[in-house]
Amino acid sequence: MKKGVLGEGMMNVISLLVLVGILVVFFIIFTKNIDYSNLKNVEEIISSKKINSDGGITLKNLLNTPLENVNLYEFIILNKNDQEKIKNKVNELMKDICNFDKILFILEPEKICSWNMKIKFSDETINLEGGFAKSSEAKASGISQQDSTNKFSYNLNLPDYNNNLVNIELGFIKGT
Amino acid sequence: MKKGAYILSGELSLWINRILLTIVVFGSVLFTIDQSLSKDIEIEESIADMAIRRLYYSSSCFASEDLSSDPGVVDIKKFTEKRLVNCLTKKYPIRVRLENKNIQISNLKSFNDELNICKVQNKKEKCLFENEQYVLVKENGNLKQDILKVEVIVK
Repeated sequence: MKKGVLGEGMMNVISLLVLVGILVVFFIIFTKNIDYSNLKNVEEIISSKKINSDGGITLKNLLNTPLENVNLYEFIILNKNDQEKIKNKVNELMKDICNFDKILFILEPEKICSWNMKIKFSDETINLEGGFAKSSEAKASGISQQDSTNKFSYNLNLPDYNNNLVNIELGFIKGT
Repeated sequence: MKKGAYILSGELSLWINRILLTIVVFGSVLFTIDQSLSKDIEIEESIADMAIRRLYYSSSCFASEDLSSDPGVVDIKKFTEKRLVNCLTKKYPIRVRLENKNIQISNLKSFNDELNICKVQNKKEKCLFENEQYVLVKENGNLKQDILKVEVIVK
């Protein structure tokens, strides 16, 4: 009986010591200053990647780009019936923004770029594409792997001269 | 077997279990805390991205301003090294170039030295961040298209 009482007493003492030990360790861990530079070699990394979008700036600027006496949007609605003219003009402007071909794919594959534009009038749709856009080439390059992180698109609804809405959508798939 | 000996051995095995359990719990708590404290947060890319966007979003930098700020439209009068320093300070070396206008400015005269150091270091850790943005340049009230190329070094 005496040993039992002694055991219970020891248990209480050891429990208290363990509790104090835990508190001391917690105190040391949470009050010590952590030198940020010492965190560099740690295996686990939380990464905050940049947001892969441009906030619609490219589409806005593209449509506002002046061409002689009009901007690109006005040029599009004025030449609605001449799709070739629209395609040539948009391709010409997009070459500065998203230019990519087979040679660049060999030299700088990480800078891959592909774009597509849909211009939806009330009665018809014009589809344009460029950069590294051909599906067979894109498949061969593994571009689909980048889709989830580097793909973004924006669209705008703007009125034409007859107050019908024209929807313009510009999509990109971009590398780093 | 004596009754006292049985009580002692019974108590001993009970204690061994208690101690082992305490060690396991204690170890798990320490491991969990250590894991969360030892995480390295990489924010360099986000810092660079924010600095780059500020250039053409903020009227304190290059964004044109009429009644309100016009993001994506660069006022050519604002495109100066002095304004670049005031806007983004000298904390991160930055070089900005308007491609069609062929104008290049930097917030540090020693940008090339910083770039060389970064390129050596770049094998271990990325420190150079680049971006190209289609912008419109406002000059004497007229707009012209251009490409704003930005290089930022964040260490």
